[in-house]
Amino acid sequence: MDKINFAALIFGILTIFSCTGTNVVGSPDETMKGFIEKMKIQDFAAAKEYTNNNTDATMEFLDTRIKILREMGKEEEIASLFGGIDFSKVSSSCITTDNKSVCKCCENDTENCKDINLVQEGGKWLINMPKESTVE
Amino acid sequence: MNKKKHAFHPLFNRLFTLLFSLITISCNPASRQNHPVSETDSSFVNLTRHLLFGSGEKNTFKSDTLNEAEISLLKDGDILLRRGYGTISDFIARFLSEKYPVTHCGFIIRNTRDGTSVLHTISNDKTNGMIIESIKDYSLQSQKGSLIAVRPKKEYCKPEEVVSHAFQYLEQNIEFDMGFDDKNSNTLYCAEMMRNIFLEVYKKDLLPRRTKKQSIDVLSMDNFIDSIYFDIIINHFDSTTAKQVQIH
Repeated sequence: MDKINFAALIFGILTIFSCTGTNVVGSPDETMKGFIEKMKIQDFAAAKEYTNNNTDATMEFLDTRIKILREMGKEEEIASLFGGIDFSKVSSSCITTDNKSVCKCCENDTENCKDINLVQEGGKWLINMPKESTVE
Repeated sequence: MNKKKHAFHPLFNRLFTLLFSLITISCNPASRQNHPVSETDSSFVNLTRHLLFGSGEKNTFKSDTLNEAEISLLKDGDILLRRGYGTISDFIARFLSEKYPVTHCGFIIRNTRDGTSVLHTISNDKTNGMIIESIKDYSLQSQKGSLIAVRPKKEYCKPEEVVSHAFQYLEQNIEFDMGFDDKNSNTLYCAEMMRNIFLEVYKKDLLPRRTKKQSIDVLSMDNFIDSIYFDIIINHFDSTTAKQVQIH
């Protein structure tokens, strides 16, 4: 009887999980917020938590550059490459359809905005920023 | 009086010769062959701002194309340059600040199943590494008026060997190098792949010039425009084709 109850419990748990869809953790807005925060503190290695494989190498590229410049003590170059942004005036808003999301990221001072694509991968919303965008 | 005049002349002549030599060297493109490394530029690009907010330019996604007459000009091993769409492509164009702001390159392969194709390495939504695709699909990803086709000069023209090496890279399935580090070949960016193949085939670096600033050090795309090693076959930036030019 115990075995039957245990099997029923497992079956029930599996049924519940299978009915909850794709089990994506978080939202595109949360991913963007986390990504922007990592860009703010210039922790590009940690920013990979919010990017997919296509984009990880870009973060590694930034991480390598800033480490080289820090070792060389080139604070002016660090500021020119990665600084000078007032993050209190950065905003983003996402529009999601199915398994894709486009987040408009804006620098309110300059009114420069960019559409950043997010995709669902591995149960997370991740930023997809490859070298080139494809034209369909 | 005459004595004084004679004493002045040799010095003047030497100075004049030195000045003339400096002007000649600086004006002669061939002189760059001896000093190919390290062009620096003070126009810095803020990477974080570029990644988060773009360049402020509006991309209108109008593709470039080659017509049949232009495609018929192309041969195996020719190089098709384009400016692509996307954040990193935009950054490359701004970083390099070249006359023709191309950001990508691929080898022309004739007579494939899709007709004329392009073999290249790319990172986009669909591919990360070496790929061969039709020239139509390759052109679709180019910005309007940005296609340039070039061919290595006659003395550096072994298209069969170049294409053979490119196919070997395709078979090795090497990933695209988003770190743009051409010091190692575990991953390759497009110009790095071509530079390596030229070194293997010609034992000579046909892409010697680099752009260095802000700790970034990459191969300059305008190497492909340098008349020391390449002839321009088609240039949509200038709306010209090579029909007026004597191309081998």
